[in-house]
Amino acid sequence: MATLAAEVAKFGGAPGRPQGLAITYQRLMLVMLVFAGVTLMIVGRLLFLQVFTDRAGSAQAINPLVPPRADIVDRNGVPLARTIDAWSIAIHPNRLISNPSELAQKLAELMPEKSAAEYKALLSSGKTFVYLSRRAVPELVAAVNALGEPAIAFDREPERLYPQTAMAGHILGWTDLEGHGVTGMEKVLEGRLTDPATRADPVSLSIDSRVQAAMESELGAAVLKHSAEGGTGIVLDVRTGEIVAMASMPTFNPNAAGKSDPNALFNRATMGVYELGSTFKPITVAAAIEAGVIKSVTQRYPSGAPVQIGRFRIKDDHPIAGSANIVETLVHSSNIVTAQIADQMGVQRMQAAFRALSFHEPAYVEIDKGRPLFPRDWSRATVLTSGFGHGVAVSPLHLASAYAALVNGGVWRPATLMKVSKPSAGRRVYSEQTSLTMRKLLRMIVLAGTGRKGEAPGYRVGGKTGTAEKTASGGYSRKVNISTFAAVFPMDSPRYVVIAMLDAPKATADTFGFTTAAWTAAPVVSKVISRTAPLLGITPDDTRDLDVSDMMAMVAKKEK
Amino acid sequence: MIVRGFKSVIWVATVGGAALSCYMVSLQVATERADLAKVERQIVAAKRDIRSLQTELGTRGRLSQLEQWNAEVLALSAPSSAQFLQDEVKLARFEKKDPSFEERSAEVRMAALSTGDEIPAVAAQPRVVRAVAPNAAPGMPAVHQASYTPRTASLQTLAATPKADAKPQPHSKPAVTAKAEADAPKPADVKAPARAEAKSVVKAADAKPAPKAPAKAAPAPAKLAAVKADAKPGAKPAAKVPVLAKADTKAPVKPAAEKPRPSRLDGKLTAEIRSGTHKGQGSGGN
Repeated sequence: MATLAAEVAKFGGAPGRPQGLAITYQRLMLVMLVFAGVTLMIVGRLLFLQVFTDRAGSAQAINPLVPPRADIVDRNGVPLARTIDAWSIAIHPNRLISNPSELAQKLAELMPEKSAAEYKALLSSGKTFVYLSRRAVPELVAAVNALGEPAIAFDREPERLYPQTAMAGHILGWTDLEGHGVTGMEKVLEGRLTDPATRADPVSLSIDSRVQAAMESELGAAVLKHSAEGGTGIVLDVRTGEIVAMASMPTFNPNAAGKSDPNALFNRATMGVYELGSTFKPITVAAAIEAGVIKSVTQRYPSGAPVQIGRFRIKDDHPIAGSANIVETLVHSSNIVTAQIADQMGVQRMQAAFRALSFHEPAYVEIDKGRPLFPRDWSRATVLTSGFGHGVAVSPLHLASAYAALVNGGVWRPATLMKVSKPSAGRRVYSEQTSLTMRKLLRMIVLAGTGRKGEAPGYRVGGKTGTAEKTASGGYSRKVNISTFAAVFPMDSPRYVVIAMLDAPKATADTFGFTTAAWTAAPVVSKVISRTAPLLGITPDDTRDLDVSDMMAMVAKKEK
Repeated sequence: MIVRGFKSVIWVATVGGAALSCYMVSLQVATERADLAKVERQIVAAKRDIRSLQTELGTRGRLSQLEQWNAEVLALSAPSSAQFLQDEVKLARFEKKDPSFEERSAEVRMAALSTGDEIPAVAAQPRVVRAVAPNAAPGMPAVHQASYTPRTASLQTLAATPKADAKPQPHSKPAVTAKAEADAPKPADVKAPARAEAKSVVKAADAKPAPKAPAKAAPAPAKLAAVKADAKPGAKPAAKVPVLAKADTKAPVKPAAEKPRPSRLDGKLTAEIRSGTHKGQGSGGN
């Protein structure tokens, strides 16, 4: 126990002075202190408010111009996805005033999603809060408001709007009601789009909406004309790997994703894997040139007789009599010669050639992609058939990236949907010289070969058709095809790869019964190039072209 | 003495006045601040409106909709490679008819204005000239009007005296504005690329409304690309300007002032874009 030893102060009035005056002074002093204290408190509070309250910051926090989710725009700033304020209609059933059965009847008339009985059950449930309709249109809000039920509440909620409707739906994906990305770029960019620090700035995709619209409309027209099961189209920048357009038919509307056909949600460009047929031949030839198997494009191979491998016979529809050089092989799309080239390459080098183009792994792109069917065990038959695009199934995007590497000087780059300022370094797959030879060969195919329907006058298109037989019930069906045309333009200075693929097109009168790529997919590419090349800054010029006169002299007979 | 008596009163009045003026100042500041906040709120509201309207415009003018309109009404197609020209020389190729020497030097008319001073005559050049004095009020100083209607559609240029080049002034009467009725070969063959986005390599006409100088014709022999017509837009005397320049010299026609529509993304549009069964939706959204 501590003892507090303090002198107790004797409090008393000053001696010799009147007691009353002292008390008055003390009281006055007290009052003055109280006044001073209050004034100091007010001054202090004011200073505090002045110094520590950041008005600009507080305005920022509630800045209504920053959307709750960032916009997605195309490479030119055209909005592809935005957030707007939509109405929601809700009801508090426990505060209901009017007759539930009458109100249920009226609600069922206005919102026929539910029956009157369901509304009545909902209204008499006694819950505190139930949504009647989210993302309601203003007319419906006005009509429901006119019912005059005070228990009905209206509120504004952010809603994701895709102004271009179905355009680029497969790329953008969509969001759920809570505003979280479900698929596509909405899902990939979820963090970036919702981060308060970055959501004020829109995200730029590599898509050019004008090119995308042209591709979708031409592809859609072709799918409709040929009654195809579907189709896909890609425009890829060969220098950067940016995807300028990527379409997949049938399309869906991301504004109402839930109501669309599940088949339409499938993105054939990245998720679908197909045996793409003869479009692989330039890849085989390029690999053979690179490996030294083909020393010169004048090198000749026997082309008249089918090649027998095990129980398969590799043959051509219109075999080239006698022998064919490399230019003729590609111009007439000879399976026989390509199989021989692949045979000379052997298992290891063919596999390595495909692996260099990442055909053994899912495509390099942000959104959902499918796994290619790359054979685990390579027999001689696999090698031979893979030379002309059977036995290896990849997505159309794989093919686009591979063609970009073929023509851009030999550098393979991953494809991307984000606008990039500096292209990735990539990896060298072919030498510059091989790339130049391939450009000339591809141009030859369009000038003199099977790809002539893919030509767009003035744009120096080069490309390769591919008509693969679709696998059906264990075997290949001759009638059902995957028709692909892979093109590059302008060939004298390649800028863009354009790929069009139609899944199971049917012949029409003006294709003379053909379902091959030259009659179905190539015209799509031609039209897309004619429509979009000026937008992409490529001026058509009839006077310029890649010099292929040497190769032209090597082709004995042009494709009819 | 009396001052001493009122000293405290004066003190109170002074302090009171000072406090009051301080309060007035702070009140004024508060008012200004409130106004500023109000303006800021208005700006935010306006920006919101702009965004909303932009969204609406973008949605109504979406590319699939434009495509549909094009298919139904406009029927525009992609420009062919022949519609792109690399340089002026190629543009000049479109001049089909080359006037012969006789046609070019057939008859030469000159315009001259005598104002008393001796004006050096312009050397006769092989050009066909037409000069007209607009606003030719009666009693004006002698204006020699030369008129010639060419039989062929040869290009006409103007040779005017230096005086005639003078800026037309509303008060000085003798101002003569020479007018070149350049019957230039119309660049109608040279179709500008139909698409707005398509960047045309060709400039159809250089004619820009210039603030000065009446119609001035190119001195060089007729080359389409060389036809340059500068015309003062507001100047009345230059009533008629060469064909090429005509469109440009017109004062920009203001569209009829419409009442700003307080439009938002209305329900019909929202319903339309949300309907999965929109026309052409399943088949490529055209």
